[in-house]
Amino acid sequence: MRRPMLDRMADAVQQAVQEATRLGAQAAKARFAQTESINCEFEAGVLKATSSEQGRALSLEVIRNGKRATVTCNDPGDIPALAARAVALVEIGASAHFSAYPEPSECAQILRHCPETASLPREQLIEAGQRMVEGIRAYSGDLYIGAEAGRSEAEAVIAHSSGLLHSATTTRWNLGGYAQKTDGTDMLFCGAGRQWRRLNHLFDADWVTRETLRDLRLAERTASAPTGLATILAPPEAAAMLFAPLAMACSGRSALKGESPLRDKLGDIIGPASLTITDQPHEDWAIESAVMDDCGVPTRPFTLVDRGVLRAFMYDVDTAAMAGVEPTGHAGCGPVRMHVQPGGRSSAQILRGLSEGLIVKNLMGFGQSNLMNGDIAGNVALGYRVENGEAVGRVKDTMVAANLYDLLKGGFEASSDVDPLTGWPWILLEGVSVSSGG
Amino acid sequence: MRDSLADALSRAKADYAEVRFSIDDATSVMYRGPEPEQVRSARLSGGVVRACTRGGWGSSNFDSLDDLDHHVREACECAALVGTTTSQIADAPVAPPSEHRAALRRDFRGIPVADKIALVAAYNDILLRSVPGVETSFAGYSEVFRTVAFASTRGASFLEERPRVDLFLGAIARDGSLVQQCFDGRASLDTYDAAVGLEGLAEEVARRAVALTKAPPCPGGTHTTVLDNRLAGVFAHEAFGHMSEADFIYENPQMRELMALGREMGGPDLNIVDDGSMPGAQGTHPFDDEGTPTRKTYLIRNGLLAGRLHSLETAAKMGEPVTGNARAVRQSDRPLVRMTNTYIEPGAATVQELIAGIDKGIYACDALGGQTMMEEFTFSAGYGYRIENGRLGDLVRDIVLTGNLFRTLHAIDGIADDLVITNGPGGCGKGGQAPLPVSHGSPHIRIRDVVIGGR
Repeated sequence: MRRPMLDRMADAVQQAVQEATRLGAQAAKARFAQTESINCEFEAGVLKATSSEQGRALSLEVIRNGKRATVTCNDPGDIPALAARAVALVEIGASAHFSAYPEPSECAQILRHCPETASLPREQLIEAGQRMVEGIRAYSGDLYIGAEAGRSEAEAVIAHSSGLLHSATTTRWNLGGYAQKTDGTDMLFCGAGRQWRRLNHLFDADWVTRETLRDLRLAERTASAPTGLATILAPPEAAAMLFAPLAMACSGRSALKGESPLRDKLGDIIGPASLTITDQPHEDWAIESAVMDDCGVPTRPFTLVDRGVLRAFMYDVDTAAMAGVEPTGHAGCGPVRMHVQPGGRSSAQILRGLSEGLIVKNLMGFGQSNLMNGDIAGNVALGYRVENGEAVGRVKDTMVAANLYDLLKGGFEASSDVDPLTGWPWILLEGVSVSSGG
Repeated sequence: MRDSLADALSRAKADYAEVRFSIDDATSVMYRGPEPEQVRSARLSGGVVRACTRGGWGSSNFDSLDDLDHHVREACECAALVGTTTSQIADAPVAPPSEHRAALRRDFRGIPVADKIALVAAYNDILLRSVPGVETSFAGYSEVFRTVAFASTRGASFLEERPRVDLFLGAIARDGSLVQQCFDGRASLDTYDAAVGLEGLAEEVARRAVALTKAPPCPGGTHTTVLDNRLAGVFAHEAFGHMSEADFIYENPQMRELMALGREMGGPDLNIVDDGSMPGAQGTHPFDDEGTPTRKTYLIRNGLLAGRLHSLETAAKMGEPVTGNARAVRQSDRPLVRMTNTYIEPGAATVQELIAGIDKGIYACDALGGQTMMEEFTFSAGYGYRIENGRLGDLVRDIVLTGNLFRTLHAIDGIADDLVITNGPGGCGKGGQAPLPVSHGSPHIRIRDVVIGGR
């Protein structure tokens, strides 16, 4: 960090909490975070830009008389003014269903700061970008190639009026590359990217190249999409997207507010016995991992769906108080690092056993459908027809549509192999409606 | 403030450099169900220095002007590390330094937060209670008053106040395990009154959410489809507008060939415009975020590709006029080539005439969103109706449309005479920057053979 502020801001967040309390808040919580990053970007196969980025934010939440308000600034110089604004705003604040933050308790230890990542030189990022570009260009000189590489370091400190004072530093690196192939009015976009907190073997420009080239080669042939009800096979990144409705529906707040279609299904069978979904927040070096939620409640490994049975909803402190349950360490009632547990066959074996179907790598417009209802729909931005156990060509002008909960009543399988970063397996789902104009 | 920016830039060692600094004062209120879930206030500052040397770009983001000299140096050093060729920045005329204070017809800053919360509470009550069957609601109000200062080594310099008010209404209805939702809202750059008097809209949102729980899903397949004003505006933005952003084109020889000006894109009645200077719309500003004056640009005129949207660099590299379309969302974002207010010009047909010619089709209304991957696009309607024998039939839900841009523009065979420009909450996303305030608009249009995903 060019200007580390953690020591100074540890005092400042405690001062903000004390000042808010002195002004009449029943409870207060302050958080400061600062991030510094450097990035390099390649456009059209050449280095186009490098950048340095810096940002700070200080937020203060206060609770008083069943109300809650939050104020934010990035000038930490005037704590009394910030506290005064918060205490004034809370008079007309949002509903709060708790009057004190939970007492601090012991948290897991997770590795999240890597000195080698923090000091990753710009030249090495540029070299990685160049390597991705050259690797992809080897496929064809006619491709439009983009790439990016970056690293960041962050520090954060949180304090609240029940005695929490917790600070953390984190790092991350990111690598990504993509190719655009244009042939008349036909365009193909493919690429890959990853991010991690530790600088290790996963920082691999050649992995990006290999993934991109695999799609370029698979897409050399085109094929008509299977129409009607089809079986789809989703690689880890697409599988995570397809299960987004379930993460939303397992929000304790959505259940309590009546939005979730699963709200009255706790203990019910919602999927096959082979379906287990857990939240694993303690994976060292994973981007999403967290030791506590935004109120200081420790995170923990958590089972949402156990062998097909809905086992739990996720609760933050406010929602838990509303529902009369214990908070589960889920800020915003959402998962930290949710994934489906792997199955018994490898993705290669599952593919080989598929006589006809569709590999869906990327869906365009996915978030526009009624996700809360479990609806998943979108244009197959990148996908391949499967025949007799192998991908035979790229499909175009193809839409898929289904309801996740209906799909889980039919054929489902998770692969034994998982993405090393996200933990997601490949997922097979039967009975997806496919429409195609191609 | 502009003087300190210009002073810091005077020490820039680059072919071109600019600095933009903003201060935001923002307040937001959100109801979800019967209670207010969020009341927030923020005062945030931030900025970015960009520099270009030998064709390479460098930038440095910051949140305080305290160390501006450092950030100018950092951006210039980043650029010097990158550049190996020649900087190409359009040599367009530079407007004299200017200040553009907000001329709010009704200034939201003078209205107590408690009144704004009460306004949202009243809408929320309508959403929850006016129609049986609504399970829960979303009602939100947000305001931001942004003050932007800009200076560049070309001599451009402006200060602009950019106020914005958003009002958002949503209802979620359920019937058994079926959950349906409906959203709508209003946004304005010049008056708090845009958020007032929307009781009827709140009731309509609630009514439609409940009605959708009784409606069947839209059948999947290929349909002749009439798009209403709002959805057709999203179509103009998503399906075509993004393709006209020159940063997708200028360094890609195949795309330059594909998008050559003069190419036939549609029928002779098709005209699509982007206009960052039109009064009263969400994407309207005197200058873009490179200090270029905004203007009206024909993208398609009489069916032929007529123009595209540019930054200073893309215009120089393509040898085309600057258009004032370099825009940034967050305070520290670098500007990208973006749309402003994009719309299809009206034709001569009536809406009735468009529908009357269809034996079996879909009337798709309202927009939940859209996305494009250049030639392929997709967008979702909020709701729709079957068309049978030239007449509107039953309500249908879950309408997601997709297609190929080039085929679909040619498949437009009817343009009505009822242009409406939509000023709604939210905005456009690109390159990780969202939501950018934009407006879009269109008359009703009819498209043959649209692929609709359905179950």
